[in-house]
Amino acid sequence: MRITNGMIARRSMRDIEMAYKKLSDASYSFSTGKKNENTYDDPVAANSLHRLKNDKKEITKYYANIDNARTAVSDMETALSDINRCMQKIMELSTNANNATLSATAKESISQEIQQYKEQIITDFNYNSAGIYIFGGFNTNSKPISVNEGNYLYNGTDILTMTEEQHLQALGEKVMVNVSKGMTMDIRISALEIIGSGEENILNNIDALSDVIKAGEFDSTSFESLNRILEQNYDKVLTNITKTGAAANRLDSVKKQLDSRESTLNDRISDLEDVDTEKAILNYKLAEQAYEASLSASVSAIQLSLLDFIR
Amino acid sequence: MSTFSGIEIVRKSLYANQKAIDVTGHNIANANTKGYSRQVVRFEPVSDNSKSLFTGTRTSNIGRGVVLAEVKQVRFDYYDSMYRKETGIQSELSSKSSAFIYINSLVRNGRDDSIPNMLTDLFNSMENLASNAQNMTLREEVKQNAILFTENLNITADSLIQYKNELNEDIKTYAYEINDKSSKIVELNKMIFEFEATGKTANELRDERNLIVDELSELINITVNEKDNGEYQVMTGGYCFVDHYTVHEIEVRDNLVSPTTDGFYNQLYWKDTGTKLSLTSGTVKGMLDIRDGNSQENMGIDYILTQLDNFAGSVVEQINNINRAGYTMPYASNVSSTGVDFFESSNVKASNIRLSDALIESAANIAASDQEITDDTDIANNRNLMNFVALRDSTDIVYEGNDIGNLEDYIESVFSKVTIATGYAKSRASSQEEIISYISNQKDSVSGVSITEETINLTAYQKAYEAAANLMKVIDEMMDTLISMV
Repeated sequence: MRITNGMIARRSMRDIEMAYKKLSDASYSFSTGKKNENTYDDPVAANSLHRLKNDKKEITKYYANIDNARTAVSDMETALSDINRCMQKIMELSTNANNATLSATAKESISQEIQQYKEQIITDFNYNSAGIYIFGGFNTNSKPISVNEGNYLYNGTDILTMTEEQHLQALGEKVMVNVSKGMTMDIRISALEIIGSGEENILNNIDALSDVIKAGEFDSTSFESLNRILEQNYDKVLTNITKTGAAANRLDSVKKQLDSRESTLNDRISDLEDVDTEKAILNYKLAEQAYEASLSASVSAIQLSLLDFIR
Repeated sequence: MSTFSGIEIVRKSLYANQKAIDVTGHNIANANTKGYSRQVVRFEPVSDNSKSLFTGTRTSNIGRGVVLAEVKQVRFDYYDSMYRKETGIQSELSSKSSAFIYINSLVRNGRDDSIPNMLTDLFNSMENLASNAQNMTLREEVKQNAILFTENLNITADSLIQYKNELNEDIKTYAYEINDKSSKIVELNKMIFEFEATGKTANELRDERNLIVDELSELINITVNEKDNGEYQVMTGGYCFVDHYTVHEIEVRDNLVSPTTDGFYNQLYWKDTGTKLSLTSGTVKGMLDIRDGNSQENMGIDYILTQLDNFAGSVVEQINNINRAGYTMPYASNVSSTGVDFFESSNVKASNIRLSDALIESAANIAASDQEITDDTDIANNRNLMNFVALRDSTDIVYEGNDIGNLEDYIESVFSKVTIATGYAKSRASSQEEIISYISNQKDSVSGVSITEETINLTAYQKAYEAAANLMKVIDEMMDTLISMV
């Protein structure tokens, strides 16, 4: 086969171009720490990378949801503990009041104290967590419990005269939170769930209790029936405190799962996308050498000619 | 035989070798000329055919020197036709490869602001809103993400359509270039035919014609045929469009609707027969494929646009259905209402998808609630929002008979198809380059100029010239001796 100058020139050109391209790729990896500049350099990796990054983005969103939910749960726990404390106090006070020797003034002051604890309970139910009223179901913009001429209203509906249907509907207002893919949690508790509605609701019964104590017409039958209602409701408070505790635990465990998932994702993304620095340096050096070699080889091959040897 | 016949031999030798040196010089001068085929000289010995006037027998068997019989170009037609065939494929692939790389950057494939990422952001912000449905800041975030998403689709589709129009113009330009080159070939056919009628070979003109034919083979797939009588034909797909002295031109017709999208696109027809060009390779074929390709196997802009349109349509249909079913949040003097569109719902395409006027007016029109919101107490109702969130995982979406499946998966698969097509086109183009490089080398090995070889030839001719000159000296001395005898 004849070898012509054109062939050597073209060959040299191609070799140099290829070596230069490799040097450019190696320098990209070296300077950015990434394997590929364009998606089409490795379509399969690009595809998986895209999915992984999306998963990671989603997780970041769930983190925000969990953190918000966690704050709400903690605040609910605080409020419920306080309600629990108030209920205990009211029950203690009512026990103290069940004493015939107490003077009318003392009874009146006990009654007033009970009223104050009731106010505190209402304040607790109207707790505002980061701009949201947490005990109001779908009503997050205004206080769920309001007092209108001695009547207690939950989201504008009188608790005492609330129908069963209204009660159920209000309890159905669950604000669901997405905490993980396909996993939603109902973390909020409605004030109505604890207060109850109709004759046996806490607030009206506390009022009744304090009225009875104030009037001094205190007999053990009425006391017991009122106290029984209070105790039942007190149990509900305890149950719900447990519920919030469980929700907090669950949120924490979901967060841990997300943590480990995120770190797995990070590892896989890094596997697909990043280069080892040592490897990148080595590759760069190799490419550099290859480029230099191709330059010097081409130069000497092109320059040589028989003409140089003819005197 | 004359006493002076030796001088005649010297003259012939000097003349022939000088011509050979000229040819060598011509080769060296054209060592880097594109399309040049090296030329070689063929010497022929001259025999003494003179016969005795009396006996009728040959007077001598001593030769009469040398004559330059032919200056011939060295060329192997088989490599030429192979080169043209592979060049056609190469041009098609490399035009596709660079088009795909461009398309990849147009759709911002793999970048943070690509459509799949925007959709994910939109869903994420909806999920965020779901835990706090009355929050106007979060509603604004959903709205902003939706705007970014629609604008992104608009820009992507617009830039693809624009690129398609550019290709359309390019195709027209190429058609004119083909016509131009065909006419040039005919011109050269005339010149070569007339020149060669004298019995000589039109080396340089043939090189020029070959070069133009090579260039033409980059644009469309062609085969050439030179008849025994010297008539030259160029054919594509069985149609002879350059037939010796006649040329058949391509006509660009722009009154035909392209297969899937609206608008008028240039199609190439033979002016004389009215048949459509059927191309199998070449840049023009590559561009037509990119412009009109509308299947996964033959992927082009049409295919990508159709996919984006289906995607845009199904997003609008699905999200609107959910938004219409829910109730908006009251704002200003507007009450909570149902049946409100999220996106503008008529004649949806990727290039014109936009938010509904209601949503542009206020983010309160995102229908988060599943019941009418009459006062503050239902403001955080997020039951309908949960349907948006559920849409994200829905896998059985069908839009106008097209199986979409999951929205996110669908748009991701469109993008990864583009990625794969790009990678494929790129790797095919570079492997085809290897083939071209091999054939070019083969071609060059036969027709290319080697300076070393020419130097050797030069030295050989020079020595022969010197020797002939020396011979002249010897003859001269012989003459002197002879004359001095007198």
